[in-house]
Amino acid sequence: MSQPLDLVAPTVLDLAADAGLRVLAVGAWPLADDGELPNLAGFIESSFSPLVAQTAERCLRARYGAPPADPARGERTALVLASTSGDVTTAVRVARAVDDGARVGPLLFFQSVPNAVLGHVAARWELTGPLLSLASTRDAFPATALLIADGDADEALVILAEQDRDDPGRDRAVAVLVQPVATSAAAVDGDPVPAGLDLLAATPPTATEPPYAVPTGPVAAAAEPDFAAPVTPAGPMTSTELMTPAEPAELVVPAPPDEPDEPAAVEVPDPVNRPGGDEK
Amino acid sequence: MIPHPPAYHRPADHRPVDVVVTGVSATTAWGRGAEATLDAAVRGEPAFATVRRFDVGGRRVKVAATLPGQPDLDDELTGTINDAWHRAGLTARHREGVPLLLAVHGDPAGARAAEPVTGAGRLAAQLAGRSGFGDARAYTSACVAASTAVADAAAMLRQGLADRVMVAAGYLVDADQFALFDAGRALAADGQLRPFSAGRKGLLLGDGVAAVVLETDRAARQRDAPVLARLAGWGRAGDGYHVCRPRPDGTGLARAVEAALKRGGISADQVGYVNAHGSGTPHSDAAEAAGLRLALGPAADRIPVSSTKSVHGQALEASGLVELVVTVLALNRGVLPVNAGFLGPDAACALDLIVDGPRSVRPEYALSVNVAFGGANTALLVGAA
Repeated sequence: MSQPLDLVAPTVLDLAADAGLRVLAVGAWPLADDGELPNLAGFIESSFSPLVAQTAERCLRARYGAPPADPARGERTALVLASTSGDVTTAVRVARAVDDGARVGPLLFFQSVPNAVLGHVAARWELTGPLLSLASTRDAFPATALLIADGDADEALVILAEQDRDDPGRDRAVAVLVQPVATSAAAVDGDPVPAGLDLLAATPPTATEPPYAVPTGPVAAAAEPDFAAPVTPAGPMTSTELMTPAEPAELVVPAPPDEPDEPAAVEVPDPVNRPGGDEK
Repeated sequence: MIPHPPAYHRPADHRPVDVVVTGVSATTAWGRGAEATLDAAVRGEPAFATVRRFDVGGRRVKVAATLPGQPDLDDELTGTINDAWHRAGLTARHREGVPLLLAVHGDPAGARAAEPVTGAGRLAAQLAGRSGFGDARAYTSACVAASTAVADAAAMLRQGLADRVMVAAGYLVDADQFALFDAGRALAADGQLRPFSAGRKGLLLGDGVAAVVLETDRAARQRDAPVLARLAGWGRAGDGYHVCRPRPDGTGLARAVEAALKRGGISADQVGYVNAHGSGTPHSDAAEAAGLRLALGPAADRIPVSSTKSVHGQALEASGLVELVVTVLALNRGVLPVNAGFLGPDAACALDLIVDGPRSVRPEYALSVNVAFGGANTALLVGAA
């Protein structure tokens, strides 16, 4: 039910079509000639967010050339991220740091949330449709079709990403820009081949293993809490429990361009003005 | 798999389907069932206290709003779902084929498993299977995960893909998220979450588990179900601005609110209460106030606003659903919750904040607003039953 899809681009095109969506452009990682995934400024230690950003970049470049997106479309373009693995590397790093009593890097804070890399892509390409993050790649196209049919978006950038927790060389992702088939029927440009598909032709399919098995046998019944039992409410804090008031430090992320600069302990380059990068 | 709408079909009957709420339950540090949380919100009494659930010795801030002991997320979700389902007057046999939309961060033990996983999808699948529901879908978009699930449920019902949907969400304060928020300097060093207040210093985490049964009006009437409220509208939009900061002028949030009002077919001056996102974060509250003023126009001067995070904390993926439940119950009870922790007005947050005590009002409509990293914005419009 929640097993990851084989992230082969032609399969993704079929699945989009099954959900009534036409693919306008596609990007994928890795392609045949790809080496290491480029770093994504402001995101550390895990390949997940760079994977999502790079794949999205390829898809959007195939459609628009360079950022930003066409304003008339960007405003109505949703961003959908579906991943069964999620950013498992960041989760493990944080758990390890907590268990070891080690310092947790402040940058891990916002990257531990799937929305953050979507925010990066949205800012860079000026996409202001809804954001959606799902835990199963199988949900991606049905949920996208539902969202568009509901009316808060006309198109969607759908990114399917799977991180291999042991081997970054086996990370894989596909990004497609989709719109409903009915819209396409009235579209002026009649080219049926999604932009960027030619780059994928040489990429061999990758084997996929589910990261977990859905249990088939009986599962032990949950121990439900007693809803009738009153819960002792947390008491007011005593003076010894109150933190010594300290000057609050703002979240250590520098301001976007139209705000005055604030002091930051950690340098996070402004994603909107980040250089175009050196991806293929 | 939850079905998707057929390619762009326009229903023959153009009357929109009404979406109604028939059962709710919510668990926070104030207890289970939801009444205890509403009571505390009406009193304006915060639940923040020193964390005992895990070691906070190395943290700058050591405070959150938690249930006692070591509650289990699966157990709490199961219990909350059962409670909401029961309150809706439904039995086990009604669950077959009903979709379960679940907002969660992931499996709390997943990162430490022998084969680590994030595990949100698996958690949802197992919960649905064990509870007798149909297919499950897990939403992981942080602080808008729950409200997004509600909007999707409403869309499914309106598009005729289901008659009944169970939406659930859960977050229990844990060491890893606490460490991340503390490292990011997001937690309030003075131990209070002060939405829209002068001197606000950040957010505090809180336990939140909630469940809401949504149905079509017709399905509810067919079984004479109690209707607690209507989900009259919903809206979603993105800021396209930054990885974690909201757009300061609030335009993304305003678009989400406007979409909700439009779906509901009402104007801003018909809104009688806003349950704000109000995380107590300096820049985020100001951006939200700007967005609300933009969307609500002159009516913003007199629409009462409160953020109940001030009493139950920021419950991350579950917050949107806890707050929806509180909003529905407040409308039914005819009393609006207090915006607790208030020290004084901030000119950047010029709203009609409920600070002197609860207000005995029974609005026709209320908004519940949520915002998340990446510039995600959602607005849910609740209509009195």
